[in-house]
Amino acid sequence: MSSMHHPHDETLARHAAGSLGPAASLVVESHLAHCSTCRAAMTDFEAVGGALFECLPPGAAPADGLARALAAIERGSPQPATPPSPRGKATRPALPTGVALPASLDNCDFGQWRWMAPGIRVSSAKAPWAKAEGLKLLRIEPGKKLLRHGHHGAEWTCILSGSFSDERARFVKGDFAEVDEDVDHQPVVDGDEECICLIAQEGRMRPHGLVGRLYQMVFDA
Amino acid sequence: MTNPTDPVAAARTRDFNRDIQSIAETADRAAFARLYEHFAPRVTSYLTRLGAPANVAEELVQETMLSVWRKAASFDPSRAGASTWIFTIARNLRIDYLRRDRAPADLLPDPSEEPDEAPTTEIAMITAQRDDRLRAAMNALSREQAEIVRLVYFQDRPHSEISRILGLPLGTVKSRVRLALGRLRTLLEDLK
Repeated sequence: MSSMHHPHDETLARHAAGSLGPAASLVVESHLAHCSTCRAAMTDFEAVGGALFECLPPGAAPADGLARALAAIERGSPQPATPPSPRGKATRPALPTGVALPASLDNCDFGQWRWMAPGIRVSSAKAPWAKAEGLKLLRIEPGKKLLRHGHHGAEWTCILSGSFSDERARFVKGDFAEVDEDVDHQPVVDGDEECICLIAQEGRMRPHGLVGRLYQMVFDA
Repeated sequence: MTNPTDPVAAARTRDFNRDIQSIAETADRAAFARLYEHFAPRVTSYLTRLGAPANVAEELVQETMLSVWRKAASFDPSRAGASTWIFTIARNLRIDYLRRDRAPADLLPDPSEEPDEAPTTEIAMITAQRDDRLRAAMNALSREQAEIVRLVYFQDRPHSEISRILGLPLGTVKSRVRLALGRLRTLLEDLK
């Protein structure tokens, strides 16, 4: 299955490079799970990363690093410093029947739904690294409009269920919406299904007007 | 920075593929030592560029190289060469580290969970074709575009760095980045 709306090449390249933020990467991962086109592009961008990595001027390896690594190997099967935690134990808000969060969020805790505006609820990620990029789920009832707003930096959205439209296009499940400081938009949930989105931001939203600023206080809480 | 399209580097990459396979087949410590000597300094360089403090970089370099030992059996050279495979291991460990305040999570897919069995000659051909394709695409970029691609990969704040290093106004940087990456992607597609 492939989506219609994809991350920009720069976002995919930075995801392949590991230079995108840890929360924004989760939004990209959620799209990749749906999009074979972008998975293929990732393979190419990773190969480019491997070639550039090969050509980096070497830094200083850890002192005695090889000897210590070999000693760890001799001690037996060297285990990761911190074993992975069991999957699927993360806290998350109640979801409508038939809606599941992507596997990329298996280890990411979210709070319960909070009221944000009529028909619009938000659930924020709890970990500090995720909060730093404003990682959140939005749940919007059919027919509801978000306030018109601009952005201070890039904002990445993956649609997990339902659909929305703005002045640019219509976005459905699996699609990736990417906006930056040049974009002012007013998304509207246009289907008969609730729309659930995963969002991360590089800068804060820039809502217009007093109501917008109050709404911002809830959004950022 | 050396030329990313150096044929000597490509040949060496093929030897490193062999080294990883020797670890899987015979727990070859000499092969591990060769990989360590070559890649550990590059992993340090990569992590430092993305802002890791020295002690964190050191811990992640060791974890990366030990992962190379542990995961050698899942290395599949028909999917990614040695450099790309080790680079993605380091990248994933760094992301896990950044997300560690809850739990380390292998959230990003392992580049090669289940290697397919393919005849050695076939793998060598696939590997050589992939290296050629990458080399041709990188060579076709202008010097400025190649530099932009490098900065997008290895800078935390790529736009301001590109603006500073190439002396381009910030407003121009975005469109130059789009052009450079779009061109690279088209070249890689066309060479398939």
